Amino acid sequence: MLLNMFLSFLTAMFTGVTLRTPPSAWIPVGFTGMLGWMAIQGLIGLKIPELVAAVSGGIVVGAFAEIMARIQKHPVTVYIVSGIIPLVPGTTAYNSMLSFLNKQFIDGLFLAFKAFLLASYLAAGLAIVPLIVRYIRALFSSSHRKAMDN
Amino acid sequence: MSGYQAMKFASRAGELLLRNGAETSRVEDTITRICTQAGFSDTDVLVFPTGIFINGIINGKILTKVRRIHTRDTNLTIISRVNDISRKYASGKISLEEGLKKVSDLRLDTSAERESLWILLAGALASGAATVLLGGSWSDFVPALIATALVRIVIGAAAFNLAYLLQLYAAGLFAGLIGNLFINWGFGVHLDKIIVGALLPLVPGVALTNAVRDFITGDLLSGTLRLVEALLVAAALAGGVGFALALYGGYLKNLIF
Repeated sequence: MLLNMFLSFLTAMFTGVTLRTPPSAWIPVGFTGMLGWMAIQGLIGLKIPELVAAVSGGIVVGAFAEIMARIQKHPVTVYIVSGIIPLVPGTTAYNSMLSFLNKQFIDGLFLAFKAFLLASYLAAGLAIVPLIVRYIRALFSSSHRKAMDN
Repeated sequence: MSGYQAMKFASRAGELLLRNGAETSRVEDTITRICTQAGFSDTDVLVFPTGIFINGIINGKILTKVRRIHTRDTNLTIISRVNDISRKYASGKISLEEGLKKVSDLRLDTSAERESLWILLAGALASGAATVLLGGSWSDFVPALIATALVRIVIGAAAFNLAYLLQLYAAGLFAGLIGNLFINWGFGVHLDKIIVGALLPLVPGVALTNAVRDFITGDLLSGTLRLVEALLVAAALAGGVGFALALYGGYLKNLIF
């Protein structure tokens, strides 16, 4: 478990290096990937459905990226892009391709759709976070303004 | 005169962002911010993954700028820097000329920057770690490392200058062939983990995430285009690997040994 956490850290960080992340963000990017991976694996271990785990992993990555972006003053994209790499359903996509190759088309379609669904749920989880942040901020600033008016 | 300069600044900043993998709303925000600061009264920006249209009114004249985007890559440092420059300009810390000069320098910088040894090594290490993370054993680490390095050398050789999708197809093909060779020579145990690990940093994560984000913010056209791009990239990778596996299992194996 500890080893796998370290491996997901390395995967995210070095992918970040290949995508030319600014050097000051290398370590946070690694932690983004590690936290997301831990969230997904932990939830799957608790017998939570995979799709729910994917959304939660996306939300964890998005939230941590948002926090780090505020601290380090880099765009959120910097953290998200490499942070989701350990969570991408690569094995499912590979197995789908293998099924097509072995002429098991129904299995192949099933796995391809599963991979696509997992990936889009992951992305949806990521995309929800900025909306929530914006909503909370709008709520806060409007109530703040009302308080100022009163 | 300054209207033209501001338009140039905005379009160059937008082009840099879009070419290096920023999402649509960020590009539109940046351009609008720059134009508003420069004194444009009514700015409209339309951004697609393949082009930028900017329209604005300054001193009673309507100015329009169209910018076509041909190549797309991912370089997060550039996104971060352009973001920084546009924010500094919008808050009045730097002048228009300074901003334009900085953006132009950045633009020249990109063309000079090529695959370095360090990027190659980092990619190889990422794939090795991903292979073990996905359930491969430690004996798969080195084969994945070498396979990725070779794949990156092959597709990074700019002399080929293949089309984007063909490049990814070649990456899948080489990952499949090299993985098979390693397994055959007795290095490594899990073929599937080696191949998936080697290709994991190439998966269309950027395109898919940006597609869903575009959909959610309402940029339906950009979202659709990016979704199609992501599906094509995934299909190209899978097609390359599938071709390599079919080729190796059916014919090449007997030929080599």
